[in-house]
Amino acid sequence: MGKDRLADFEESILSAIAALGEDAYGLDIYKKLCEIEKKPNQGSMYVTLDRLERKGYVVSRYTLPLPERGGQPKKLYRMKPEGAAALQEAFEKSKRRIQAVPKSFWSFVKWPIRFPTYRKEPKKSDA
Amino acid sequence: MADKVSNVQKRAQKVRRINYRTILFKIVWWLLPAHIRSELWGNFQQSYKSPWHLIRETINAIRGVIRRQTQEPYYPGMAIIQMLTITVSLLGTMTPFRAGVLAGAVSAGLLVRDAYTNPDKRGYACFLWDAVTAIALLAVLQVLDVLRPSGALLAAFPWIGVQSLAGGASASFFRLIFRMPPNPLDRAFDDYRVIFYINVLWFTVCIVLMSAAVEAVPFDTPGLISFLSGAPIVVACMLLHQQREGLGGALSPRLTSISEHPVQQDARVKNATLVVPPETLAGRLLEIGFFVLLAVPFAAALWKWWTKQDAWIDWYQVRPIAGALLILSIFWIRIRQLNAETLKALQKKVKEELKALEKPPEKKDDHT
Repeated sequence: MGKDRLADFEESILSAIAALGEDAYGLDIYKKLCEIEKKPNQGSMYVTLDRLERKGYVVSRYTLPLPERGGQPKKLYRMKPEGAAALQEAFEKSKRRIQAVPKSFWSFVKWPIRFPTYRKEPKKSDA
Repeated sequence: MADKVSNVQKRAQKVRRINYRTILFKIVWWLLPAHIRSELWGNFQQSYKSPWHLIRETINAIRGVIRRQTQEPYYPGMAIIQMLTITVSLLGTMTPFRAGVLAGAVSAGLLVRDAYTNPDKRGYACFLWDAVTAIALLAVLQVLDVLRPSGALLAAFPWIGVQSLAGGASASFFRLIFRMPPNPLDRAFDDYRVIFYINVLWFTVCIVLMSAAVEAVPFDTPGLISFLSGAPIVVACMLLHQQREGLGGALSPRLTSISEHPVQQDARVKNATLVVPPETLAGRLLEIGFFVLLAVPFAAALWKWWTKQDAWIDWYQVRPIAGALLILSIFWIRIRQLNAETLKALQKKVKEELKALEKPPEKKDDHT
């Protein structure tokens, strides 16, 4: 288990769990995810959390039913060493990717990039 | 007494007042996918602002679940094949556009089903329910389609049934190939009952389609229709009988023996209910005979077409039935293999249980 490559969204969720530390629960992970991703979705998040659990990257446990959650328990997630290793690998890959691009590129490039356009030279006869 | 009456009246008034919030909560609870319902429901309760907010959050969550669950790389290919199969099965009685629309609706229903299925519990049972969903959706949509223009529902029932079975079952068998559970051998013992039902479904669809084909290709010889409808059932029973030791075959009464372990007896009975690749010549011939019988109506139709006597042949029915039977025949190889795997797992389990019985019970140390 835990040999698959992490997808982007999986990486974001693992980062959120890592930021929250031990026993992170759904709503907190979602709030953290809102800081990382653009418009994340709770449904997608839980499906991905299930997938991460199946892959062996995170482990979960339930608390007792809570009245403020309409009698539903909290599901707390904790990262496993395999998950931490996968996240580290993903970070190092991103770091290598960033290092591969020279810093001068960012200072040189002005956003948005405008490609040089071909201009028709005026005819000599017109001049 | 007066107090009691007023209490009863108060209670009655309370009952009469409809609590829309409760109804909304129940609908939302019912709509959420079962495997993540508890977590989502808890979050919605904690962050509840207004009914509209709840509805919006629910729709978003369901949309997200559908998108994420159907994001697997194989999904687009599977969806296209399943849509094409269903469209082809409907072409007999519909224009390509209408058939495509209906196939799209059935595929959308299956997509929602996929989203609501717990990935942890994905197995052969899912496939069986895929088939049931596809066949039921096709039947209902066709009934609605027939009701719309004319209302001649009774006359349309036979071909609605045939097309639903042909399209739904074929599409589901394709889905089985795309969504094969990861370790079929490990799960085979637990899935025995479902695999048995898959066999029953396959066989039932073949027999129904055969009967429909016999109706679509009229035969002049008396008794031939009854023979062609009944012969595949007899051949299939004979094939099962080949696997059973002793008299009576799979349908024989189950006798309890005191010299054999109950697990072993159970395995022996199950062994006779699933058809595996035959080892004897008689078994092979019977298997080939079954498929030859299935091909007879189509061979007769081709012969009549060749000799230009095909005026009474309903080609619109014959074509999809032939296509569906061809697909089902190809899938038989996979089903047979699945049966063999299941029985292998069953034997393994029996051996394990017998070995456990031979071991002496472990002594427990009493520290009293």
